[in-house]
Parts: sequence; C-alpha cells; structure tokens
Amino acid sequence: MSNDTDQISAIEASVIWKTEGKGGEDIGVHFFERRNQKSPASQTFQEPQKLSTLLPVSPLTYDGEIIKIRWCVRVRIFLEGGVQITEDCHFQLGKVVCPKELKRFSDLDESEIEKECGGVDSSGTLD
Amino acid sequence: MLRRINLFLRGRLFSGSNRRWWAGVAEASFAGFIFFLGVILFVASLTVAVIYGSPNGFFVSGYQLILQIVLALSLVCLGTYWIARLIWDFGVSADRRGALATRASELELVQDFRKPRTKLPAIPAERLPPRPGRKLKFRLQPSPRNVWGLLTSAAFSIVLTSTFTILLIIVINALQNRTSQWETGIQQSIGPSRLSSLPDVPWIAAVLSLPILAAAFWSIYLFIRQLLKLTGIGPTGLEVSAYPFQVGECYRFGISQTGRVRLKLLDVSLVCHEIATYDEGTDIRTENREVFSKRLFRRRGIMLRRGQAFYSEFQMQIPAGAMHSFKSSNNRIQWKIIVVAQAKNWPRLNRNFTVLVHPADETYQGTGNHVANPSLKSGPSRNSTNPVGF
Repeated sequence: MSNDTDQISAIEASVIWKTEGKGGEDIGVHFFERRNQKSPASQTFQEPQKLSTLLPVSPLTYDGEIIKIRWCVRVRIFLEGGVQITEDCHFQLGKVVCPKELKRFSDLDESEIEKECGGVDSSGTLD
Repeated sequence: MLRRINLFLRGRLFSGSNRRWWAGVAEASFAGFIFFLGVILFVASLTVAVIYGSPNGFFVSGYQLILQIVLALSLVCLGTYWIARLIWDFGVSADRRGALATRASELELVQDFRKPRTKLPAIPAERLPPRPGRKLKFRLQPSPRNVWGLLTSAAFSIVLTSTFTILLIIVINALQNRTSQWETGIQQSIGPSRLSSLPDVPWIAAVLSLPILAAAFWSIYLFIRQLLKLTGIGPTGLEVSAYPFQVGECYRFGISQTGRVRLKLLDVSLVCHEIATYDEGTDIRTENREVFSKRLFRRRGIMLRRGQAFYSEFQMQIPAGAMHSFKSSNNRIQWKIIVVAQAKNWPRLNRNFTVLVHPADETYQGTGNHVANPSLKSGPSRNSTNPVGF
C-alpha cells in the first residue's frame, strides 16, 4: 500500500458494528477518522499506522438465527482517480452464545437453577 | 326480587364479595346488549323514516322520530359508558393507586436506572419504566393492552348489525305490501297468483340478510369475547428484586393476580425474540422468531377472591452468555416475560412485560480493556473498487 502513496488522496479508518441476516442492514459507527494528503500527518502514509479506541459494552457480537451483529475495523482508501479501496477487518466483541447453545439452558432442571440462585418459592395472598 | 332491584339501582348487582364467574360474563354481555340495542334502534328509526316518507307515518312524525333517536343514542351512550367503566375498573390496580402516592420516590428510582443508558449504545430506551413495588424493589409495567381488537370488532358489529337491520326492514316492508295486495285480491275474489308478485319482493335483500345476520352474530360474539378478555381477570402485578436485568444474574420475582375467578392455570415464561424488518418488493415485512423460552412459574387451581390478590414468589436467572436487548432501525432483540392465565369458561389471557437485559457486569468492568488496535498494515485488497466523486 505504501508504494502507491502518491496516488492516495485520503484514508478513512472507522470502527463499526453492522447487522447481517434477514433484516435490513444497520450500521453503527463507533469511531471514525479521516486523514487527507494535505494534513500535517501526510507523511504517515508511508509507514504502518495504528488506531486505538475504547470499545463500548454493547452491542456485543452475536450470531443469531435471523440477526447477526458483527464488529469490524473498516479502512477506506481514496485514490486520486476517484477510486476507493475498502478493507474490513472483523473482530469479536464480548462472548455471546448462539441461540442453539442457549436453548440447552431452557432444558435445565429447575433444581440446577435453584442451586445457582438459592431457593425461593413462597405463595400467599396480598391484601 | 325487591332486593335485586335495589342492588341494581345501587349498581351492585354484578359486584360484591360473592360474585361468581358468570357475573362478569353477564355484566359484559348486558353492556354489549344495551350498546347494540341502541345501534339497532338508531338504524331502524332512520331506515323506516326513509322508507315511510309520509309525514303522517308513525316513525316519521317529528317528535316521535326525535324521541326514538334520542332513546337510541342514550342506549348507545349507556352501553359505551358501561363498557368503558368495566375496562377501567378491571384495568387499574390498587398497586397503581399506591404508586401514584409515592411518585416522588418513584422519580428518584427511575432516574437511577436510566443513568447507565448513555454507556450502552444500541440498547433500547425503556418505554415503560418500572415503578416502586410493594414487596420487592420494582414493579414492572405490562405492555399496553391491545384495545384495537375490541374497537375493530365493535366497528364490524355496528356495520353488520346496521346492514342487517336495514335489509330486514326492506324485506318486511315488501312482504307487508304483498300481504295487503293478497288480502285485497282475496276480498275481490280475483286475487293475483302468488308467483305473479314475486318480482316485487326484494329477494336479493332477503338472501343477503341471512349471511349478514350470521356475520353480525359472529362479530358480536368476538366483541363480547374481546371485552371479557380485557375485563374478565384483574390486573397482573410483577415485581422484581432489581432492574434492569443483567445477563447471568439471578433475580427474585413476585407475581400478584387479582380477580374473582378460579384460575385453572397461571404460567410465567421468559422469552427472547429476534425481530427483523426487511423489504420484499414494495412491501415491508417483519419476521419475529422466538430463540429462547423458559418457563419460570406454573401453578394450577388458583382461587381468586375479591380483596385478596394471589401472590407468589419465584426466582429467575437470565442465562449466562445470552444476548442483551438490542435495537437498531431494522433489527431488534427483545426479552419479554409472558404471563398466561386460563380460567374456566373464559378466554385465555396473555400479558406481556417487555424487559431490558443489559450485558453482563464483567463487560461493564471491562470497558477499558476492549481496545480495537489493528494495524493499518493491510493485506491485499479484497473489496471492489468503486469510482466516486472525490
């Protein structure tokens, strides 16, 4: 990439989440940075760059039945001729189990939940 | 008999501690009957006034027509008021009245649990914030009752009943004319044959009136059913030890149910739905898929008595590793607590409590640890190149 620095007019880096699956695609932009060739840091195109941002606690990466949420770092390079090159680098945020695995929880014995929560079951009347 | 009339005049015929399940049915049915009687009388008065255009006719003589219309509208208003009162009486709990008295503390609680939202993108806002509970800390608000079913069935019933009344009057009017012709013919001994007068009878109206009558009965049945569904069993209260929920955490629940019926079954479940909206041609469609369901509580044979709400506590754990609540423009992940109550001779009752589930606590604590730090040192480009105006 650095060999073609003369042709690069701008570079954008963003950290986004996007939905995939049956529904329409939604995108949330958590972080966005754009650097132009004319900016003081233009020489930085000639060496590898790093970006750093504090990620939020939601939405977590999710692989559902009809909804999937994926996080990625998206780099978009704008060349002089009006051409742009996009690269997505996916990563996982958090650890959410898929619905198939989750269904096993629904088959758990009541006693197992009681063990985890401590037994409470009392009934009566409320005046 | 005198006692019953006395009770009726005081408006207590259908109330009292010894009220049975059929009293609710009778009250809702009677309110519906009054309402539809008014509708029928109103339509009949207007139709007959149009058919018998003569100023000397019984139905169109000025004051009598006005009197009939006033009477009909009074019945409609009385029926509407009665139905509205039924819905209100059964919809407002003692808890709600108590919560209004403690509004100041409630505001504090609401502000407390709303604070963390700013740190939680894509987690939906609370549409129905919980209120302070009586036994546990929070009382969840049920999703608004769907009165559209009641309004739709009421509208259909009015239209169908009115149509049937008009058709019936047209047919009766035609038959009366024909009968008088026969009588005249018999008296003159040169009566026309019955077949010769067939074209005078509005057969289309007569034939149409039968299916319309059946449809009118069906819509009235649906209307009464919807009314009973809304008013039959009292409000359901659901209290929790903490809110909003967090993935992997355990919570204590208290369920209270009022009413004056014997419940065959009371069921509480936790469910999670994925809801996706998408375009298909020119239509917008929504798919709703249940991805998790867990029964939390089940009890059979509960006797509900006036002034004594059934109350029971149980626990629940939001499954560890489960997805939190999520909302974007086209996609939603929604957690709900669904209460199902079934009483004898009563439509099944479903009450939903949409709840917020936040990510696990360790995710909050780990806020500073999740850092996206990939190098911009990129591999070969795999995306297409698109010319853009730059």
